[in-house]
Amino acid sequence: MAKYSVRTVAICGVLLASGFGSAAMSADAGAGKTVFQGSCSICHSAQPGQDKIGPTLFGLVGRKTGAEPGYNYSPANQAANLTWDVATLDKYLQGPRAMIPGTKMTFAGVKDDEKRANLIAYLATLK
Amino acid sequence: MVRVIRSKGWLLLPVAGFLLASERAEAIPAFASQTGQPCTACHLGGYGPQLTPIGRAFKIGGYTQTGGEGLAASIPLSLMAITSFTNTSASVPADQVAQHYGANNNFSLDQVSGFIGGNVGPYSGGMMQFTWSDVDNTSHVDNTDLRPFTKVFDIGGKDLRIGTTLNNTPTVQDPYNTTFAWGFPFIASALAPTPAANPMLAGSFGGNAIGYTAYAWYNNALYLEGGAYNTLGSWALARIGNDYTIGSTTSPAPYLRAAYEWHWGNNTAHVGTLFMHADVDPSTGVPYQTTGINGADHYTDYAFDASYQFIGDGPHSAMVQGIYTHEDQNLRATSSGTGFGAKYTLEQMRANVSYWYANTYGATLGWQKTWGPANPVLYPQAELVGSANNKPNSNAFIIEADWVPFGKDTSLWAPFMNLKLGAQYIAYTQFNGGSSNYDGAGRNASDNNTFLLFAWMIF
Repeated sequence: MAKYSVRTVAICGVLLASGFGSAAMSADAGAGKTVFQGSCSICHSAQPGQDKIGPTLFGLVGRKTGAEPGYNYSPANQAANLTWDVATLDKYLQGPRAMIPGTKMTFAGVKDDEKRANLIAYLATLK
Repeated sequence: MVRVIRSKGWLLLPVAGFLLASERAEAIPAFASQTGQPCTACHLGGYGPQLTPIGRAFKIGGYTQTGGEGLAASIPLSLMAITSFTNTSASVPADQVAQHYGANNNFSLDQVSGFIGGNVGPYSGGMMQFTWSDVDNTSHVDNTDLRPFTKVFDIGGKDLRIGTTLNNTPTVQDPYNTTFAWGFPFIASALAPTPAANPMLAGSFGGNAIGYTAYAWYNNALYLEGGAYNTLGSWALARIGNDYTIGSTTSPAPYLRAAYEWHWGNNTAHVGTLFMHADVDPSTGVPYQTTGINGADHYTDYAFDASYQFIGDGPHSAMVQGIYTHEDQNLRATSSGTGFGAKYTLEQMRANVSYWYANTYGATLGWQKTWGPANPVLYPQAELVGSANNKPNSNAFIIEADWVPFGKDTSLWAPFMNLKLGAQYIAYTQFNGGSSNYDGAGRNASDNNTFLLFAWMIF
């Protein structure tokens, strides 16, 4: 937990600045790592350059859709032309296929606001 | 001597019986609820058991992946039913007809199964199936795959997952559908005759043993597993509804598995190998009884498997897979006093190719060939189920068409309502050693050609 305290403060600042809402104010990257390991790690790595079934999520925040070198994205993802900022991730993670129909990511999404905010906070640490 | 040989004919029946039961394998909606993924994420065709890369990762991961939300995500229960219509080219002889069924053209409630499956915290999980069949009105503990512990380690920026299994059938824990417990055909008639000969890996310890293995999975590519199997005691088997087939193990039966998988674009492929050796006291023919009075029989299997899978961004997906098995048999105990030799071999090749459109419409072509020298010890002459020339040779072509209307993320009541409707035809050019009069009682291989219509539901 202490490992993330400085980052968490910084991330919360970013989230606040982006108008992410009340859930973001209490975003806990440590808790988000647990969400990542439970829900995402089957398909995604947090290590740089390690694509699994899905692309690595290292460096995701700030990256363009379909931009991880070497990963075979769906045409839908390549054509989305979005930047994975906090607001985009928040919307996407509520229902990936609702936002980008045709994406390979069949996961239903993280409906819980707090869990989602924590997860995004953790993803923002992967730099 | 003939009487002695024929007395071994019952050896064929439990193996065949298990194969019928075990080939009805499935995925469970409880996993979809737990993971927040539709059935199509883990299964080609949106219906088990054919696994996709995500499905393999979920299984190797010990069923621990979560992500589902709501009450359903915490209920680890599912229910399944299979009902079918079976026609064989020629009716089954009157003295071989299953109780309560006709000699041909039968409707049957093949099985009703309950499942408990899912994660127990982040490091353990499992699946257990309980099955009742109306065909023989029996119930038993079916496919069981428990993962007491699994964890991922970071090795130089690559994932290394290690894990342990406790299971009741060799290959039930395997991530590839080339192997036997979850191999094609995924469904088979419970009433039609099936070939007698199969290698040990293909069911001889199905449900009657406990396996304990450890595995490692490096970089989502290299899979290594090793462990052993011991058959359960007669007291336990009587209570879980399973019996010995070839016999009871006299020592732990070693089991080894290695596989390597490649991913590129929308493609995956793997090559692998399996090894198993067992020393067994042969069954006596009396339920739950084996004997070591004449020593032990020895079976050693070597198998080599490979697959290729394409899952496109559009509606198309396809799979090709196969497994070749060589078995060495030293039947010292069973052959004792018969005047026949003890050492034999058995070979088997299984292969299939399938295509799915939109994970809804599927077609599969399969081929299964078994061959070996004459073996009067295991394959004696007997009406319908035996071999007049004592050879294990069989050759079957299987064609199946499936319709899976649900199972997608947009499906009605997903993931709880699942249905597969299918038609399957098995054509035999050789059966238990011959094409014509294979059993010495006038039956031809093609008489066992089987047409099956089935409805397979799981909730």
